[in-house]
Amino acid sequence: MRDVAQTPSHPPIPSAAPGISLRGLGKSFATHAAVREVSFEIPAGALTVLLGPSGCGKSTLLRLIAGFEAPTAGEIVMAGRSLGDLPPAQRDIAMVFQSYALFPHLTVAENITFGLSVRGTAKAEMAPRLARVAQMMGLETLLDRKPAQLSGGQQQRVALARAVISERPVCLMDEPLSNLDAKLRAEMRVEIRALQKRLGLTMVYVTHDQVEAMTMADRIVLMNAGRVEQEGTPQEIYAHPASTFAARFIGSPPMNLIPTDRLGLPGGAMAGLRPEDIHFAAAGAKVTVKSAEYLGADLLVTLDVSGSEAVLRQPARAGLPAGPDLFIGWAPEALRLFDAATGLALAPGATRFQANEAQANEGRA
Amino acid sequence: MSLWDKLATLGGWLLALLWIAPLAYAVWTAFHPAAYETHFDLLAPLTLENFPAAWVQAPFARYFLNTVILVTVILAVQLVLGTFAAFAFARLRFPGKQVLFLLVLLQLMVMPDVLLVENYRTMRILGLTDSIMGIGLPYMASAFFIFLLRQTFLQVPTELDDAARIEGASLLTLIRRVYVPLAKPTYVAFGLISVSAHWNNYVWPLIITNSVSARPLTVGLSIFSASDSGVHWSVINAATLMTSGPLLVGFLLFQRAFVQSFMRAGIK
Repeated sequence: MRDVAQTPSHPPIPSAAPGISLRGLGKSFATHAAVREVSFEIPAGALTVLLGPSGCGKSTLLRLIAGFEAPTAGEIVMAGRSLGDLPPAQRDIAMVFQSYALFPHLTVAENITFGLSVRGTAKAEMAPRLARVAQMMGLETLLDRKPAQLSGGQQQRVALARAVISERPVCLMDEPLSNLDAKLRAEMRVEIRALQKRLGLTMVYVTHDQVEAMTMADRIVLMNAGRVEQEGTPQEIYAHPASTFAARFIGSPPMNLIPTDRLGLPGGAMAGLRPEDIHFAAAGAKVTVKSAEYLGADLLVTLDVSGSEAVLRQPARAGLPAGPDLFIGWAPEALRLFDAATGLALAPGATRFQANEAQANEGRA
Repeated sequence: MSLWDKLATLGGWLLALLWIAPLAYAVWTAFHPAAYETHFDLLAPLTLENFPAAWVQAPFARYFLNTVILVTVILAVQLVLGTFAAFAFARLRFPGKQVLFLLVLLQLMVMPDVLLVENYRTMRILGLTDSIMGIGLPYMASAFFIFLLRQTFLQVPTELDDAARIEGASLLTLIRRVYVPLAKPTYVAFGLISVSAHWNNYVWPLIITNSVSARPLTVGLSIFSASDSGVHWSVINAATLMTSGPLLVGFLLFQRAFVQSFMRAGIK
């Protein structure tokens, strides 16, 4: 895949990669429900990331789509037909596993062509397809090796090659980068994204890493405790988190959540402010500096806002302001408000006044 | 080296000598004339005559053939049956799985000798007395192998299983192309144990066979050595060496795997 952009011969783009709809999907195990009432659309030819903390049901959801598990409620519709209890092999889906799931007793070439050979593809057809995919992934010189003789990144490429050679239009990925070191992970993110775009794949990508989600996704489906917490583009979710969970999960460092009265706003709600949206000011909410973390370009300053902790991000060049009395200010349009009890966002883009009103309404209800 | 270690080493040597003594005696007498059976003389003349003498006095060629057929058929059926049973117990969901597996384990706890009479009765009903099939049949579903292989199969990562399935592998393909190759060491280990056990098995074949056409080496040898024509130890020992020779050579070749197989079987 090193030369994705220049490679003239790539596998044919899968004919019209289908979209997938999940409708009221649920999966209960003996002791708990892993997935509850999940409904969303996976758009055709786009990269959808299922994001969430471990145990949120995202991997179970992927296994439901793959057909390894049968849902206990709801249905999965792909290309207009319900998948029902269709076995995994007949769903026209390729999958890349967290551990890569390479067969240790087979060579790289045999691993890549495993699916073709069990499906009885003619040898004459297999060879050119293998050559094409191997070149695309930069695996030409490794074809005779066993997986144990490869580095983590190379194993990852073999796993990708195995998914690509199948020429199936939908590709599922279960935390494919979690076993790689940080540098390689950043490289592979770009490669996978390029591959997905190049082949026009409908890709469903499971991860717990919000950076991966933000950098790769066309759409993010944020999951929490078996439910969909929020779905949307990375920009939407970052700018308008639907709940305090989404606010804290996305972004590094996460959104600051401060009770509104500590910022001198009408009380009773939670104020959400991104670290880059607050700045030191001559007047405003009074703060004290607890610590500062130097990141080169940026400086992360941990503040105490009347007992709440908040993080401020500013260019490192600006330096820390002097003086015992420090204040912070923020752009009013960057302020997000959340219900203190439920954690749900109050009217997106709510102003102070609207928040007040929402509070009042809540009180009346 | 502490005193305890020295004693342990000494004990080890003593046991080894004790164990090798019969083999050493067999080698000594087999290669010397009958006159030196009970008379040790380093300068005694060597001879190879005992081997042809033994070979012509009893149908050893036939016994060899019988034993080879016996261990081959037993092993082949054990491997096939064991593979399917172990896979089912390791990876399939079906009602009564636990109970069935317990029954298989139970079989491990029954001494084979307890079943001699009952097995004989069964073989007679099946009309298999005095046949190679009759010797082998009671051993063909090895509980030990099923247990051993199930443990090995359980260690195959489920993601490999999933990967093969999503690629379109059928159950048979999955077993043949993923599980069996990954369990190769277990197959080799069990193969060695099975071959040596059935090559050496004596009591059951003695009971179930009564003709040259079915008798394995062990029984043939014992009948030969109990002949009324007087006991010729040098000839008997030559026959013993001949009959156990292939197994001895096999042991030396596979020594490492053989010892490991017992370790493996012990740990799991």
